[in-house]
Amino acid sequence: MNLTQILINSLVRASELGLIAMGVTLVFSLLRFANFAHGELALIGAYLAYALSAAGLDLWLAIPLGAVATGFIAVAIDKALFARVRTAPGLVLLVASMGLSLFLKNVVGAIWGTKSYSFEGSLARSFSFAGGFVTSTQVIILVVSVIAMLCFHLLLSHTRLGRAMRALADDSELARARGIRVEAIISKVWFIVGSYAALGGALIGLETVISLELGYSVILPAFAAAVLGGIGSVHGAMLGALIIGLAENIVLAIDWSFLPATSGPLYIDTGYKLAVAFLVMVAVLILRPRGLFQGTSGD
Amino acid sequence: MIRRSILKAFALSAISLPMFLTTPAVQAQDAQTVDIGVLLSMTGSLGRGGNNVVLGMQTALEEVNALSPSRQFRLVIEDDESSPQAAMDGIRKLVDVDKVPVVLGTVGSATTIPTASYSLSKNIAHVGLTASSPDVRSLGKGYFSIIATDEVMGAALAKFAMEDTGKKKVGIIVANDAYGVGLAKRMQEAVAANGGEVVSEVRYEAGQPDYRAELQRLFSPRPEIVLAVSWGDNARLLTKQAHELGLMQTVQGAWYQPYPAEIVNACIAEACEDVKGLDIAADRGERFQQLRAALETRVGSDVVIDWFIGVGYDAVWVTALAVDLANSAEPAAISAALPKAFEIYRGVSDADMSVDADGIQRNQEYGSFVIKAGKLEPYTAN
Repeated sequence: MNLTQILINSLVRASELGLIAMGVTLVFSLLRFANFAHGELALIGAYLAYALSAAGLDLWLAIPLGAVATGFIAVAIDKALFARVRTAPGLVLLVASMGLSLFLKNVVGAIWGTKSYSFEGSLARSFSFAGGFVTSTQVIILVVSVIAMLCFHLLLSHTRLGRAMRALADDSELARARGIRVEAIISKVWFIVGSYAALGGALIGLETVISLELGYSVILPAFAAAVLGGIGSVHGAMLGALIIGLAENIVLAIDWSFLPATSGPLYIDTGYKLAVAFLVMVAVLILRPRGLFQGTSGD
Repeated sequence: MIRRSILKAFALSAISLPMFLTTPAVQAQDAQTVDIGVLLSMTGSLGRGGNNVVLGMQTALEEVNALSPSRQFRLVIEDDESSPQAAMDGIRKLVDVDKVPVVLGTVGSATTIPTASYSLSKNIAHVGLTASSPDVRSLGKGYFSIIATDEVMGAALAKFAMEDTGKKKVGIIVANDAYGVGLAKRMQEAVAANGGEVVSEVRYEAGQPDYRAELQRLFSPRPEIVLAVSWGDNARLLTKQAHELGLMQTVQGAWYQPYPAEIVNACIAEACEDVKGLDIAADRGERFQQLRAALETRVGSDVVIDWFIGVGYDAVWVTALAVDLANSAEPAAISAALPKAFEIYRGVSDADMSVDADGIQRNQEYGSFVIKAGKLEPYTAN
């Protein structure tokens, strides 16, 4: 087991996942529902970035433009769907988001087909680092994610919008009574979480491939990270993403041949990576339902 | 009778098409239309191969229909999206709705086995195209295959790799499906039979976005040769990540792949440089030249004929020949005539296309190839 490589892979995974998980937890803390369509925002972002890049736009312009466009799509989705059932029970919102997830995935499939895509370009340069390898793409992913998370932290803790978001998460009625324009704040939140999810999706696509399964493959780990960090806690979601990234990579790297009734090396297939995130989420919900970091709404 | 002898003669000897077109015996009559069901991956990870198969099929269809004005053939094509679930939807449509008397398909073992089982359960003959898992042998009467199974390829590739490099420590990475697992088993046997050792065997799930964990397992015991079974996006990602992790460089020139034509267009050129492998060696004889000429007319002089095109071409020809021999479009009659059609047809995929009792090709010729600067080139082993 190459520990350096596991750490590098985990950090990269956490960087991508964190951008998506913080959106999941922010929507939950403000609107009180688990948005199962959040993974599809990552999917849309990845496909838009790919389409812009394939049309000749520079990749590093295509990705932010795709993210911004996805932010507007997220706002439109809220206006068209979630705003109409804003006061409905959480279950209604949950089911609506599941239906939306299927709808968005099929729309993307109808536009781009079922084949997978990769961003064009030559191979990323790789560098040997403490016994492991890190690629130039991975370094860029790490840097972009850290900057994005830092920006989000500054927005949340040092701006009027951030204060309004936290007030809304704590008590929406009180926030409304104090003159905060709740719907305007919610729209801005949708724009932000849509853009961040799209950025996360594009970064995943940059390192791997862009396929219709991208949304499905990230939503469960993103929920697991959000639950782990304490649902409603944005900073907790980032740390949760790191733990999920580590758990996935360590479990896949372990040789389970020490178990009885096994012969020869025994590893868990990458296809079961989602199960790792799922198990972590279930364990946390049973043992520590408020998350490892005791997150509360509003962060 | 005259028409049938023309088809038969053409199938046997690949005599040039224009000669027949001017034959007085070919006269317009009240044409009977025979539907040939085609189930193929037009999209998804196997889409590239599927589209090339269709190109070969359409080329053969034009030739067959030109020679057979009284019995016209038509392709009814369904896309299996490279997915067993979509493939089942497609086969039900072909068999139950379109009611085709024979089905050609698919390009993957994982989709061929369940769909052929369905066709055969309805007594419809099924001609497999590029499915090479030995499990197709269990499909039983009514199943036929254009290519040999992996019993032949797995052993041939392992032997070729070991002789080419002179090395013995082998790592095997295969897709965790009927095709990959079947090949891995044959490779293991062949490595042992040639005095080598399989130091790692890794199975990966096709369609995953990340294979770093599998690659690290594969390379952990430091193999000197890698035998990889991959295609399309899986091949692109595996070779890309192996290269980026610095692993590919440790076996530079010793990464071998069955059917490298399946990966050459999907790969990043730099990542697949010097990847070698065995492919169905399209017969360079008369039939191949005829196909080339037809394709040049159809798609242009720069056409690259890969074996998918040849398989599609042969599949339509042999099916039309079976219908002709049976003089019937009844499923049972076509099924009964197919062994004879395979026996007398001289194909692009192989000159001798006779099948054994399981409907599988008795022999298969392979050629060795290497990927250089993103292109597949013939390769002579060391």
